[in-house]
Amino acid sequence: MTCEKAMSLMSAYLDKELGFDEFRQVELHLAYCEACSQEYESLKATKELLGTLRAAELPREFWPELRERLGAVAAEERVAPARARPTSSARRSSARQLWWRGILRRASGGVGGSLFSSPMAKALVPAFLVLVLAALPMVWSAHRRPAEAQMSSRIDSIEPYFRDYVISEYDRPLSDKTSVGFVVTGQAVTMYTSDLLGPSSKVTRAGSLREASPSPPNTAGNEYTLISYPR
Amino acid sequence: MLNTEALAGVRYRENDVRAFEELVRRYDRKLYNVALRLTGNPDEAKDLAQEALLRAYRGFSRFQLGTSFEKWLFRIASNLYIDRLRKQRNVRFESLDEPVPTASGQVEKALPDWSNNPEDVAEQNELADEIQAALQSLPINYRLAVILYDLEGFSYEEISGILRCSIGTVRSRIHRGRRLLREKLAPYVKPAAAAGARW
Repeated sequence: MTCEKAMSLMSAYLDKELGFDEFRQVELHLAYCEACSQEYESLKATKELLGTLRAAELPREFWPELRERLGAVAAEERVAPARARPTSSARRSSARQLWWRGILRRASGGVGGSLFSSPMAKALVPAFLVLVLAALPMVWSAHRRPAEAQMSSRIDSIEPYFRDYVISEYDRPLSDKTSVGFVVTGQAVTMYTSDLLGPSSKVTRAGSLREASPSPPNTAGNEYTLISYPR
Repeated sequence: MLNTEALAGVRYRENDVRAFEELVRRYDRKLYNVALRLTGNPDEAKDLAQEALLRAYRGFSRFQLGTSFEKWLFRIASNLYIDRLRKQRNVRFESLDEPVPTASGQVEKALPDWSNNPEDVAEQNELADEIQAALQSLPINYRLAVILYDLEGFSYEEISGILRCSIGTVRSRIHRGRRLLREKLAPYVKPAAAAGARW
């Protein structure tokens, strides 16, 4: 490393703000370069001198004055937005109106009128309709997404029932449940199982239950007492 | 970045001046000290810090929750000071080519209240005045970088965020600023060498 380069990196070296490679290079250079070592020492002394400056206390009147100024600004802002700026929803709705106006203008004459009368447009209209029909399933599925999200959250709420089921079957290794089903009604989830060896069972739990039931699953009856897992 | 900052921010959005105060209280002294070192004048510093906080309050909707509030606040203060310098036609911009001002009273300023000082107040104040005068003589970009790093303890990365420049630029500004300060404060920086030369 040249002296010029080392000198330019000296403050960053002093502050340990260099990458490992550069840091090592400067370190090595300083080991044998007297001039750069002096540069380093004097910069270090300058930095230390700055460190002797004491932080001043905040003036006592700082906050009382500022509170007054902040209060005035807050009062001003409470009055101002209503008359000065349109709200964001108002801006959105006016933008929507403009968009609709553009569509309507095109459909009812202007550019649209001449387009619809041309033979090319006559050929384009069926193509456009085909495109719309093709796009419909995509739009439909996009609309269905929230419902799917709802379903997955229902699945999450059903997950504890599987755990209950596993627990209930722990002491019945030979049981053979032929089906497990769930019915979700509002806040309650009901689990139905049918067993080749015993009676069918039904478990119902309100989805909003949070406290845990201390009793273990009752495998003798048709209905289980479930351990409720707090979510 | 603290979660509490974001929380305080959310609460502030409900037009809560007190929540804003709670949020900025942890920075007020640091902000005032940066302002004091920039201006060299307690009254001007108080006004600069207050104005920066008022701007932060007014422009809070532009602050992105989840980013560093501290950087944002100090950026406002730095920009505000630079704007003020530009507007004051009678305030000159120092450049590297300018002669080094001595401590013989070229910089006229009121002295801050160093209330915690022990008995050697006078001596310490004298040195502090020399350092402050030397800081005042630095070009604004160097002064800002040196103050933020050497006096307020921001990292290079934080300073690059506050001043909106690269870390390389921060590095170079701090370095150049310190070298200028070293020249201006030569008698204090190398007392032994200076004494040796005289003897």
